[in-house]
Amino acid sequence: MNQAGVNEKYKVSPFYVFFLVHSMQTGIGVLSFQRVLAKSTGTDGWMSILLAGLIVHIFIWIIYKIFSIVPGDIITANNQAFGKWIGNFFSLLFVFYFLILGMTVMISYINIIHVWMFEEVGSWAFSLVFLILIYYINTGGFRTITGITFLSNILTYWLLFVLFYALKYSEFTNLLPMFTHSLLDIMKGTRETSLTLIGFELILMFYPFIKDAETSQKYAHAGALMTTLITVFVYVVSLVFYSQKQLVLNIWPTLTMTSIVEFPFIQRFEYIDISWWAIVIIPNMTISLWAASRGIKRLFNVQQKYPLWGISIFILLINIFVFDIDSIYVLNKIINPYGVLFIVVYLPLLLVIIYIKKMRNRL
Amino acid sequence: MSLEVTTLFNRRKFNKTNQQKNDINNELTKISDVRDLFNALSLSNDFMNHQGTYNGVGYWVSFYRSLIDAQELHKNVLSVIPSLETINLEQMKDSIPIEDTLITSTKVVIEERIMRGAIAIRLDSNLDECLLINIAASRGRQVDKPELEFGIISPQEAFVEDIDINLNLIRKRLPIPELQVNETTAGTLTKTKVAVLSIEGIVDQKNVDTVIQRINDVDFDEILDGSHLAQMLYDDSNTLFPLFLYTERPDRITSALAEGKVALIVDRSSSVLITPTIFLEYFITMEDYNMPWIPASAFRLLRIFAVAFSIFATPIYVAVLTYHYELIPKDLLETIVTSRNLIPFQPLIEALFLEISIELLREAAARLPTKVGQTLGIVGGIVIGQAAVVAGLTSNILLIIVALSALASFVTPIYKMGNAIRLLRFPFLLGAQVWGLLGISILSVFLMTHLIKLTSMGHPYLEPIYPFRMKDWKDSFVRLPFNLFKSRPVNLRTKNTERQAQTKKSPNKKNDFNE
Repeated sequence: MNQAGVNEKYKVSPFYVFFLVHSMQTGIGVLSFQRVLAKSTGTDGWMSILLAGLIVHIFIWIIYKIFSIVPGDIITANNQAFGKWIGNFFSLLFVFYFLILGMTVMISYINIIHVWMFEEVGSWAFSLVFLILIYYINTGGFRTITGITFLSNILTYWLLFVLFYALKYSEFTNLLPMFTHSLLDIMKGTRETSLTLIGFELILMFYPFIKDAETSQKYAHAGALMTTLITVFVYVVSLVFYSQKQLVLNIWPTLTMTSIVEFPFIQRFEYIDISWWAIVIIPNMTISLWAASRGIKRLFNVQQKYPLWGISIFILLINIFVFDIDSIYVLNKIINPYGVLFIVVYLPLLLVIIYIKKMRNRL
Repeated sequence: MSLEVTTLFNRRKFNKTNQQKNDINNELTKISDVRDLFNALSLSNDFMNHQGTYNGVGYWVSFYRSLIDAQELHKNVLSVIPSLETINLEQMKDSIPIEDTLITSTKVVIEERIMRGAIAIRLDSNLDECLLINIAASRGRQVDKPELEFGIISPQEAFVEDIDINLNLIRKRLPIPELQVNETTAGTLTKTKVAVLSIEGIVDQKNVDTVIQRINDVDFDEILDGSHLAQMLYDDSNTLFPLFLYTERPDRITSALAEGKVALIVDRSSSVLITPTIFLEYFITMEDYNMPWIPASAFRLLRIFAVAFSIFATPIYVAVLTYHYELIPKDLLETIVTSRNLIPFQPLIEALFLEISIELLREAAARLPTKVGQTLGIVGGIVIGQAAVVAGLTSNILLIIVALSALASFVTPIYKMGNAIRLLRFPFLLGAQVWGLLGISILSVFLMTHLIKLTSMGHPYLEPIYPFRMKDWKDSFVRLPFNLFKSRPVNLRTKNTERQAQTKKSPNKKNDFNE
């Protein structure tokens, strides 16, 4: 089996893995993760994030280990481990997961736009524009996707500095008391924060598109570390800015924090923040939908545009007919316990099976 | 008629068996062709056939009156004849003081040379052999100051329409044998000469081959200008952005060639093309290299800021005033509201009104003679602008913003990039009207994607930003000191990457402090 058949000229340099991983992880989660985390762990939430970050690193290690034995993408690995039929079944599950991931990101973002900016515009209008844009980016191939991810990353770091403005109104005693939560609480917090740190698993699809892919592991780790640190930073700033009780009540603490920024010529920064966030979200959705459509392409041997059309029309229909706040909860539920559980259980299992097969072949 | 039939017959009969006969037949057709050619050319009234006799030998001088230099004809060609003993093409060729001469009887060559301004001399004894002497008149502009890319502290020479003068301007700057010129033609009617220039040993030969290949693939009747041709060579013609840099400065071409790019000179075009190019190259002036690196970098950053301002200023005004007036602090909001409270339109209509009037002014000024243009500037800029504000059609603040962004779009050194920037504003205006700031940021992603996808001769347009190449940042947004210019741009994949010896030390700057 060739390396999932990727021409050398479509590949990207290994260091873009940093941006791909980091950008995929940073999305909607970072705007709203504080509330659930504060509920379960409060002032010790940063430990949950660090723990979650550590788990992410372990999984990145697992993914690279799998691919060091079976070069290719997750579909090759599945086939290698379980044979054609069962392997394809699991591959389909991954395709479904990526599709749901992309859709969740899009619908959550549209929800934010509805709540904060344009209440009256139908969600189908936003999703239509996003889908056209995603299709346009996809037609440029993976190099274009990487490019837009890279640019969106570079262009967004300045938003971090806006948070420093919030520190002006901070109360550092809010961080205390520390270490009051049990290990169980912290583990629970880790589970809550997984939506923020999820996204690294897209390596499973784009691995064959990386030049000298084995060398890219350090960049993947660096990307995940960057996300973890940023998440901890955002959480700590939220902790010192809000009191515990406020934080538990606030759905989008990050946005509320930025809304207090005031300069002589500008105030209410959250409008800029939300609009700018489109630049962050679009690569996010693009990579997920790219992964889903590429999965179908690999499974059924069709041109990638057909599954992408299908997926786009599916998402558009969902947005036209069933969009409401509840659908976000349903989607989040699919992603958070089930999707995450699937990945957490499946990937180590896959590694073990592939490893055993390799050993047996050697003997 | 009968001759033709026999010829055909002969050809068919002897084709396989008698090679010699076959050659003679070919000779026969060729001969009748040359005579036909002159008969056909004589149908045009500006084609001259002058008959003369010297020492009893009759000769013909044929040429296009409109293509040749009559003075040269009399001084150097006809005056030579009396000095000859017997008239004979070989002898004539040797005694005429012009190098570009040829004796031939091939129809295609004769036709091509005559059409490019050669005269043909034939003797009555053999009317099929011609002596072709090139005395083409070169009428055209002299080398002048650059108009579009004027520079204050850089050479004041610009290309003209003549390909040889342009080549001369470049060769004077690059007196090395490695500078290679590949000439070809394009255009089925215009037969425009195109010269592809590159420095052997530096340039990636693949680029030269691609350019020549694409020029030869062009199948169009008229090629009137360089940018005309360039559009047919583009990787992607559905774009606002110029993919080939179009310049009238010989120093810019020289520097591009030295970096390992390919230059294209198109005859009768006063500008020369550079390819492959990158996006940021269009914001570079040659003056940047003639200034110390700090002001050069500062001005370059200023130019890039101006471009961003010019695209985004008016759309942001429309977005903020249509949807997000909360963004503006109270004190500033008061000012804006006061200036706008009598205006009956939405911000978008107000902005479009002003933008379109500025575009009209600019378009009108480009079509008018300079002297009238100045009046137009005063009438348009001051009178209309002021009157529009007084009449309550637009606000003062918007007038300032629109005027500034128009001003900012003029700072791009390459006119065509300025055009692209100028047009880009309008989709952003509509985006701002539809979804405010969100519309602007979605359109920005569209724009970024488009720029990432663009390639110039197969090389990514947005390099060194993406693909990210640290080495090429020395000459992108900023222009770093020359001692850091150690290598040629990475994306050109030059054969010789070294621009200066790596070991060269900077001059010692020791003083008592360092001791």
